[in-house]
Amino acid sequence: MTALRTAIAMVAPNRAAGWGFLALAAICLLALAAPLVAPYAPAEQDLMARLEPPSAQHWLGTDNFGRDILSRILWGARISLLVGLGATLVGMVIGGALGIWAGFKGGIVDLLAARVIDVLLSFPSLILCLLIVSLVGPGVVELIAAIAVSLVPKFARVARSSAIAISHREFVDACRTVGGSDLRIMLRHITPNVVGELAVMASLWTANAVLIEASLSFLGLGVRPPTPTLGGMMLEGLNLLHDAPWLTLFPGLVILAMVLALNLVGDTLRDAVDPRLREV
Amino acid sequence: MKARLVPPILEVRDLRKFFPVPGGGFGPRQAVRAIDGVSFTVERGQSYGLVGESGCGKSTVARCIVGLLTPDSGRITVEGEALTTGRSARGRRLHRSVQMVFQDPFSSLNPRLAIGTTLAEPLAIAGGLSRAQIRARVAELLREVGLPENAAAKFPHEFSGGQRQRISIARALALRPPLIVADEPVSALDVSVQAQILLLLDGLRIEHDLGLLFISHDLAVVRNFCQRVAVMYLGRIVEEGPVERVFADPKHPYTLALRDSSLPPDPAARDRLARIEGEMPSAIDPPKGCHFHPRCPRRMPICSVEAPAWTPFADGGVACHLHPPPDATVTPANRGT
Amino acid sequence: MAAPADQPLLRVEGLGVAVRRRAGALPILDDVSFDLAADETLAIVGESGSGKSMLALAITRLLMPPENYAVSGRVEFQGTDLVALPAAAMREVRGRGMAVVFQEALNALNPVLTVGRQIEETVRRRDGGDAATARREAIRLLDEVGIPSPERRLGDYPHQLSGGMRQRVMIAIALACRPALVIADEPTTSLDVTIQSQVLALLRDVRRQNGMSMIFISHNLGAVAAIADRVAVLYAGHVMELATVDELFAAPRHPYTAALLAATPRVDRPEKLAAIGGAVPRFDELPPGCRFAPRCPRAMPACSAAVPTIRAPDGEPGRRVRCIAPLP
Repeated sequence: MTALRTAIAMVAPNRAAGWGFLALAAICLLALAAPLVAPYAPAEQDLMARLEPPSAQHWLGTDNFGRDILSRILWGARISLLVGLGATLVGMVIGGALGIWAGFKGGIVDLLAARVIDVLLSFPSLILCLLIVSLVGPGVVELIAAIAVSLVPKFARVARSSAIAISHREFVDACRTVGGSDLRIMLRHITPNVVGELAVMASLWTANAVLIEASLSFLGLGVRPPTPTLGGMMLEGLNLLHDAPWLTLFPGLVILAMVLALNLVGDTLRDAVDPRLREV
Repeated sequence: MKARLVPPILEVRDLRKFFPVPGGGFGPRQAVRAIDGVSFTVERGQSYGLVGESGCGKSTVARCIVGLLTPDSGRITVEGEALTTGRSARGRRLHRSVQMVFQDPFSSLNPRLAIGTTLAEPLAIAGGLSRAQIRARVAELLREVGLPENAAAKFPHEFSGGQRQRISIARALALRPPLIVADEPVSALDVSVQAQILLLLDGLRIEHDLGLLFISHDLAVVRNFCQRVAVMYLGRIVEEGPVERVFADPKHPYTLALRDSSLPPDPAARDRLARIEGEMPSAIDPPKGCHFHPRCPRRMPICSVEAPAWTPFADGGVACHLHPPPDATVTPANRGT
Repeated sequence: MAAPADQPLLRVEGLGVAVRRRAGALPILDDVSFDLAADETLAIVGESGSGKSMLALAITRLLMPPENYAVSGRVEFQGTDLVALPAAAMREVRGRGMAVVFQEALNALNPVLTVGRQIEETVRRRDGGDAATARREAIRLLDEVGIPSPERRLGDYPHQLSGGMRQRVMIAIALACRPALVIADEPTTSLDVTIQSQVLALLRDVRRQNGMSMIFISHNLGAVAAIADRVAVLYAGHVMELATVDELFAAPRHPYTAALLAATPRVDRPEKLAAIGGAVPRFDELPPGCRFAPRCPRAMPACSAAVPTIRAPDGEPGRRVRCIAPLP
């Protein structure tokens, strides 16, 4: 409860952060409630109303199969958020655990881990994902796994450097002198002090994961049609960009809003986690 | 030596710990000779001061005794049982009989754990207590160090430096150890708070008959709170004995210099300033012979050649060529030739 | 613009410093007044949270960023009020009139410039002149602060020197300005005991030889006793007592001074220590009236009614005590 109150107190005077939280909450709610609020089923075709511009009937228009863009965006946002959050969560847990372990253990373990992280980080995330997806094939789970793998070294690096710093604090020694095991030290003493920083990163990387998902779907390597995704919808609209710009514009705007909101939230979290900014 | 019924609480014999210097290239492997043959004994209920300047190895001694470092050689015995260096269950249990109070009250408490959780941790690890018993013991610990019971629910940032040091002491007491190693426990605190913590430690020592190894650079604190003192210089003990004797009549020139450099709050002592020259050399390549000889105002030719042997007194002793052992073959007449 | 002979070198009058915050100004220093004569050392002694470091920064106008602080009162240095001085003129005063020696020389020295370069720059900023002259002066200064083989040390970088040597270099840089006033803020706190004693002796000697004045800020009563001519005791932003060093240590008049002395262990004779209960109050939770009252063994109801004025106790015109019932 105190954490929540601190967060609210942090946000209250900060307008941009407030909008970020609000926008993110709205997008999440709408996406979750897609089955209830979407005016049409996402795959429902109305061949009589193909490529219609926004109208009272179809607020954001229809695509070349006569499917309602608004409904498809709502359903697509679900997938995008699922992939974005899922991949980030998996990446954070695995990367965080590896980083904490390497940073705490030090020595040869850490040396190896640091090299592997460096090598993996030298690949851009998107290229790494492309590589993995081309191996395992498209699909929601595959996508999550691929993006998660590309995020693991990023989280591992941050977790590792924090863990190294915290391992040298005297409370870690204090736990050792009472006979605390390495596992206990990592779980009770290191992880809670690293997790705040990871959460900040996570909110920023979720935005990135959403973009990667969109990019992969846009390249035709993401979730298979007819399941709507924001990136996939943009891909489908690309050929008709001139005649029916709403096909690309609206999903694009939603991606933009999601990424922006996540970034604002991430920045606020970073400030909230930094104890130097909390004092005064 | 007279026969004794109970073994001393802590016996350190010929402790040695070198740290390899990273890098180094192809030459002979270098090492920081942090502790180079240190021996002393702490009795039950005794407050034992280990003093010296930074880099003399006193903190390394402390970390070896509480098991945070593994010495290269030597023996550490607690209540007659040798501390094992391994991580066996028995080794851990033995190590628990030595607890530590750390220097930095801001780094020694986990900022994310409530005080109650921090104090319960040693008890939870040791096992054998129910939740209710642990809670009761935590309350008892807080009372013992003079903190209110509601402190258990609070977090470290809600406390001042002095209060945090009380918490750190409570954590060290949790397992009722017979020996506490306090590494500069008051040097981060203000004078007015420092006295509170010293009096608290002293009271606990008397009440629980604790052995207290008090690591400090502050001679005034040691003089007032310890019964015995060992003075370290560059990895070795140069003088040892009851505080009264060591401070009133220091035998080693370094002890004398250290004492005179510690300024009492008294303008009459102002002419004591700067009676010692130079700085402590690196422990990677310590001076030959007596480590102190380059700074020693009373150095003799032999000092740079031969390390002085330990000269025992009736109580304590010194390692200095000015005070050769009674059976030494070197006499003042042929010394240094 | 040398001050007339009857005027002190530095006169601080009713100095107040408050930190500006969103929630309103937070007063740190309040009603701080003292004089500093030429060729004199005044020690400011206080625990952490007394505001002693802020006092140094306020006198030198080094509070950063300046707009975050509200400074009131007067700081008269060689007849000029520094509080009202334009920034450019203040820089001139800092370069020529006063110099500062900080606690952490490693932070105060530029890590990428050699020691020699840093001293030479200061010398040339002050005197102009050519590189060779500046170099000779730098060598002379390093020699004066007791650095062995100064020619060779000129090429060293700060991290290559020990803490004691770095502090000597800081003192050399301060001397290069040939200041009338040196402000030393905890200059020996991070040093080992034997080195501390060396640096204190050095400060005392160079001050005397150069006829400078010094403000020596410290929490260490031993160091203060050894080096000061007069002492101001600071507590929670108030000067509690101001006296000559001999008077202060022999017979403290303020209960806080007395308590501080009683809580300080002595190396020369063992003594029963008397702890002061509680802790220094935070600046956002200052008690009403006398700021020491909540911890004072002699406190009475009147102490919390109003802040006591600082005044001379009976029969001692040279002393100042901020207490309604000073110790006899």
